[in-house]
Amino acid sequence: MKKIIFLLSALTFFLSSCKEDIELNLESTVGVLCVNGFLYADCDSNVVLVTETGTASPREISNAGVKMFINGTLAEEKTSADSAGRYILRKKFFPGDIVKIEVDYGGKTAYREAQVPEYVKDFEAEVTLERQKTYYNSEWADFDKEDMYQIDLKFTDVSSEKNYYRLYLDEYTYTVKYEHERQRISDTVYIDGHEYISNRDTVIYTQKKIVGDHSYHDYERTIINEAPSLCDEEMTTENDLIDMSVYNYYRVFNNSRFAGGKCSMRVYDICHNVPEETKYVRSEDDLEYLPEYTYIQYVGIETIDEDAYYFLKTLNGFESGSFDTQELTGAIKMYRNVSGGSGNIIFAARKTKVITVFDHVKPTPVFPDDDDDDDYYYYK
Amino acid sequence: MKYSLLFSLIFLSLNTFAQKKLTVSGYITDEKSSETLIGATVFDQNSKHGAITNVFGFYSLTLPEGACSLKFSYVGYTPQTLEFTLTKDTLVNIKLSEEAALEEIVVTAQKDDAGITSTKMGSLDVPVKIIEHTPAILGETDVMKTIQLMPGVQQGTAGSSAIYVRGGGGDENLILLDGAPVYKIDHCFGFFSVFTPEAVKKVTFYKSSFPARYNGRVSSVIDVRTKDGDMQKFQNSFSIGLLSSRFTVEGPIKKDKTSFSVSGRTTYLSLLTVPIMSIMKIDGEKINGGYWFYDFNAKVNHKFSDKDRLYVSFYRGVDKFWIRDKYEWNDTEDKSTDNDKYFLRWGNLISTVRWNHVFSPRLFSNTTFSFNKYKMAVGNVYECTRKGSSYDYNFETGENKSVKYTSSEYYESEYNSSIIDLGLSDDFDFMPNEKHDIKFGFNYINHNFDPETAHTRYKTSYNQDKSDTLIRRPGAKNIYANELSLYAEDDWKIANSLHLNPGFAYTLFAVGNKTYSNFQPRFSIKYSPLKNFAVKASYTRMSQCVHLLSSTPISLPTDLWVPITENIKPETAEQYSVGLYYTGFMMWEFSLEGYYKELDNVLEYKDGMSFMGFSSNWQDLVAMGKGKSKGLELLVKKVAGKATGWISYTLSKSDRDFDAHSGVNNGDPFPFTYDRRHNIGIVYNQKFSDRIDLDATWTYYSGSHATVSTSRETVILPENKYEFYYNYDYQNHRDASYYIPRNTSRTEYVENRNNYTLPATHLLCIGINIHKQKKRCERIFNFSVYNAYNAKNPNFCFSTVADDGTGEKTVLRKITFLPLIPSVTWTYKF
Repeated sequence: MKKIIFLLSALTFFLSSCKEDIELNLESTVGVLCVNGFLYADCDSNVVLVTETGTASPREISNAGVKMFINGTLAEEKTSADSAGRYILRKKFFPGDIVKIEVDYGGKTAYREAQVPEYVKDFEAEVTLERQKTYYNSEWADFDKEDMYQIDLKFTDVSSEKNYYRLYLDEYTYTVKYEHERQRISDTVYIDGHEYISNRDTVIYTQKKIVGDHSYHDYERTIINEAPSLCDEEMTTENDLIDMSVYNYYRVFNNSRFAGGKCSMRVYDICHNVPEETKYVRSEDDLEYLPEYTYIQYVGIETIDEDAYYFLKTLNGFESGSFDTQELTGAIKMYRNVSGGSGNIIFAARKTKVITVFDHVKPTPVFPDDDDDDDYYYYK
Repeated sequence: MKYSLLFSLIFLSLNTFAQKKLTVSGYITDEKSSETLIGATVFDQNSKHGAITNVFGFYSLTLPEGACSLKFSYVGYTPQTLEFTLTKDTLVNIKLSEEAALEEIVVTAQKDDAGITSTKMGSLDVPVKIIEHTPAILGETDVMKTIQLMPGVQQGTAGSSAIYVRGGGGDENLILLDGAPVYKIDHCFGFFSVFTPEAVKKVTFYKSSFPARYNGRVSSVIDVRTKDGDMQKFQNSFSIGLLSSRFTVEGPIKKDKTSFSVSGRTTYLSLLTVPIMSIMKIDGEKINGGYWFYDFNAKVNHKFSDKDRLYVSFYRGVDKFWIRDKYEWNDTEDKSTDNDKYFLRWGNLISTVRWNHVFSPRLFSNTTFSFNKYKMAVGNVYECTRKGSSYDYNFETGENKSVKYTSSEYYESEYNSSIIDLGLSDDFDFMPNEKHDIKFGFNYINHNFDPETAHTRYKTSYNQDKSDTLIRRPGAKNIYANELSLYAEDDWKIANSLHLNPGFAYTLFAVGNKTYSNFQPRFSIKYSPLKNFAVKASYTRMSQCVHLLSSTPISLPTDLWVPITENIKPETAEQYSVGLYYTGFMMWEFSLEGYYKELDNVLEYKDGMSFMGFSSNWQDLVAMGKGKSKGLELLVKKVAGKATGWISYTLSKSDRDFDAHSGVNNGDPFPFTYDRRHNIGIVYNQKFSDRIDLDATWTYYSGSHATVSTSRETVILPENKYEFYYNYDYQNHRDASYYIPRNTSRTEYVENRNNYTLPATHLLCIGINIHKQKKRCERIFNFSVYNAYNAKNPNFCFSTVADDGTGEKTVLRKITFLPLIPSVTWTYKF
């Protein structure tokens, strides 16, 4: 579909008599204070970023005054950012608190004040490996099969009011591999993250899998035809046969299907580093070189507010390329919740489960029969 | 309370006439073709009472017993006067002939003194002659383009046939074809409407003071009536233009009893697009594609008697756009062929059966059964075949054996959305006496919205996999809705100088478990203190229960009609209008109308939200707010003479206002996209001789509004994103690509919606018609020039970074689609 839209645009542009550039008055929109941050309840390292809008790119501000008020009382104040340009707030706030973040810079003040959402209740999560799971992938094939991690979640809605959530998924993969070609053991650790995201259950040094093959999509999937989600929208839009889908990259949903009740959800994450079940070895000596896998899945539900929900939906649209044709649609005004400036300060409350799926797992060694071709099996 | 008082007064007035009243009724038709004339007048010169024919050409005039002198007139036709003594209810069918003396009138804007005689305001008749004499792109005369020249009507993007009436949205116009609503009204992505001018008999356009029988949209009504077909003789015509060719055939099946009319239009735009596309490349690949559309209208009408008449009409219009990729690879042993085809196909199918029955000279009824289907499909067909050879290693023998193989793969997918409407309506015209013209009836529509189903077929020779699956988008299911409207109105002549038109419509819209009801009072009053002067005022309330989801200013087939839901309430509009009308200056007519319109539950996408082809959870993407619009409209028309035409001027303001928590523009009011302060439309028709006439239009619109970004801002991401960076280590000959995590991103900063006023639009179109009358036929050559002085009107504007030699800076790039376009059309009538 994008191809068709592109072609239509190209055709009309081809037919167009001319294009002409008109000068814009930029003064009024340059230097707008822009305050951003995802701030979590019961967290001692929340980050606020302060920038100013600019014509070519935004400008980082490292000497703004950042104040955090909790229930009307000044709880913390920062006057400078760290070397990475972050204002790190150590004071904890909790669900139900009224928190205000106020930023002063150059005579301008921008702020966001909101009530911190509540945690979800009765949160449970399980992760199991599903081998060769069928799923609908794209317009190019009606189904595909891959090994996937099946993640089952259950929780109870915060209230019967309209509530908004985000599914948090992160993973930690550690693989010790025997690389035959170089005759050495390599450690492949798929980790990264930003240390300042944390939650109340466990201090997590968050990791995110780095996918070796960039042709794969690095996002989670829901098998819609088999396990319909109870949420208002599916985690991805699998069955869309034209590629105009807005993928739910940031996994946001609301409680329109389970308001005040229980939500159960099943999502699948394509595995890119699944333990081998068996491994051919030449001799007993090779046993110590068997690969070793560790896989830890972090699963969480973040309660967010309506502003954050729509902001993240907008980001989904950007990530999915929905706004690539802004010549047609016009510029997209971002959802923002900061008064006196721009940006989004989002207060969230996250419940997390840490699930160790594989803990130093090794494949079962298989010795070739005497009459087998060693190399054939070894390389298989 | 005030309404009940009003209706009591009306019914009292119905019974206050003691003098014996008799009724003259009948049809007024064209003498040559027997085509009924809509809006013809009957006037009794003795009693000074008159009536106007309805949309089926029927009139009814109740007069005192005794001598009467009836004058039948219709613009461009020789008036006829009939004098007789009225002693009983009398049927008078009149045939009017086009008057030779008036042939010099090239076009007439509408019937004389229309603004004076009708109680209604904000309505305009658009005869086919006007449409035919409005120059347009590539000679494609167009109903909608003509309406765009009327005051109070805004054009969409330059050149498109979309209309925005008195600050209303593009989906707020009820467009009826022979009484059935049309969902998709344009071809070629909005540049041409679906109405073939040759098939059209008359178009009536309402922008306020809506007759009570019209419901379902809040801003305007365009009632298009097609030709019935000549009852006397065959008439044929065909036209060849640069974009399309058209034909019309009409004639009697049985003289004075049954006639038919068939017309069609098809384009050969593909001939133009294929060579253009063949030189275009996407991702380095050559592509080819094309586009075509067609319209087909057919109508049969049968006159059973003077009391019963049946009309069956049919319309089918289809657009198709496609792209084809073909890839072939050959070497000595292997051969591969890939065929990939994408297509977009959409179209309307509308059929109506109408039965007119005259119960009595004072009671006329029309029963309509309508079937309406709109369907859109997006599809992809992929076929590939591979022929070649591979090696099969035999472990036992150690042989490498060449094996020939042939494989094939076939994949087909189609995504559909459709709407099916079944409608039944009964409209009654009841004229109990000369003072009242009462219209009442009902209209029922069963809507079946079937959004977003997909069908796939997949076959491969590799593993004999085969599938044939119907997939329905999650959350998308058939939506059934029932819409019932009851209405009544009375055109009450309180005195010769004072007319009142009270009415109401009561609608019920049931969708899911929710039923919405809406009472919509309509009221208009006319006071004529002088013969050629009238003052009018009106109040109208309208409601709308369906919406068009669209994210682009051009019309795309993926735009989707959806009904209101349990959370999205019906949109309503209240409009107050006043007007002054004067027709006393020779062949000129003047009108000045002012209006104030309030829209409630108007929908806008929330910030950052957009509809890109899918309706799932659409109600979460939009917010309900308010809109306001006000304006002054001046219309000066010259309706007869060798030079005719009109000048319209509109001064208007329109904006939208959403509350602070709606997610729309942070709760700040913003101008409506098509809030154009000044609009001028000039239409000029000059008849130089019997052979040559000239038509010209000039329009000027103040700039519309667009949302443009003027700087960049930072946005935060909830988690790290990993951007892939390709890298290659040439020293070690290995891939060294890497990922960089980021938890912020940069995006365009937009301070407010519609924050930029685009440059004004102005356009001159000229057409010259050269007629050649032969013994049995007429030939017409039309030469026209669209955008005669090549004005660079903006179709799209967006901000971008440009380098003008002094460095990079952010500019607004204006794209103009339609330059000066000359065209020629040849028409042959016989």
